[in-house]
Amino acid sequence: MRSWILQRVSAIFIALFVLYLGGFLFLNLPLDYVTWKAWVGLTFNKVVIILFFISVFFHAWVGIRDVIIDYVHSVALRFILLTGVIGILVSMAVWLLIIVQGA
Amino acid sequence: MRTSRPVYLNLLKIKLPVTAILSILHRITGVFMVLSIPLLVYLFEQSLQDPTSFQQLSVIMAHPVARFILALFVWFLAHHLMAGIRFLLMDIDVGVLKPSARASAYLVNYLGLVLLVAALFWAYLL
Repeated sequence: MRSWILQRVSAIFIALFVLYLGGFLFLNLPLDYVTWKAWVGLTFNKVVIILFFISVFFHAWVGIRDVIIDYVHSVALRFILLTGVIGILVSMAVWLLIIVQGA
Repeated sequence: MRTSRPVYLNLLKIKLPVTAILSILHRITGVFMVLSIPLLVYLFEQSLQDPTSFQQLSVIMAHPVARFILALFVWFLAHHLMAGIRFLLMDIDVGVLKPSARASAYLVNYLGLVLLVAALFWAYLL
């Protein structure tokens, strides 16, 4: 139940962010470095981007977990894959934090 | 559980219902997008580092092949998003009955293709 809700709530936030980013891009393409860096540098946007990635993290996790459960029948392999996926997703989240922090 | 029942898995010959096509595309696009996360985070980093890396990235993104992949990605995102909304609506019992479920599946699939064409158009003309 919890993963079901997580997936739906994260989906909604992701959709809203995609619209937000899409709107910005639509108004500012072709992009130049200064505009882009300034937009990402806004504190509000930094927060939103990090929240976006946390949402993607949970959303992707639930999705991939379901796919692995559906197709990988060996419990050992499943465990390894699921652990690997979490590891990679967490690493990506940390990397993104570092990137946004430095912007 | 192992039985000796016959198995027929020739995907090229099985006629899948439109809802099944939508559903498997939803899964495939999802997995593909997750797999592209590391690359996207890297591109994000490159776009912010300094004007030079941004410029290099712009040059790469202007390449026709990169544009094609970008358009494809936009299609994947759009299809996944629209199929997802369809599922969300079904969660609150909207469009659950077979006729409307099939109709909405056709809508999402074809709208997705329309968006793919639009994305390709935009990718090669911007």
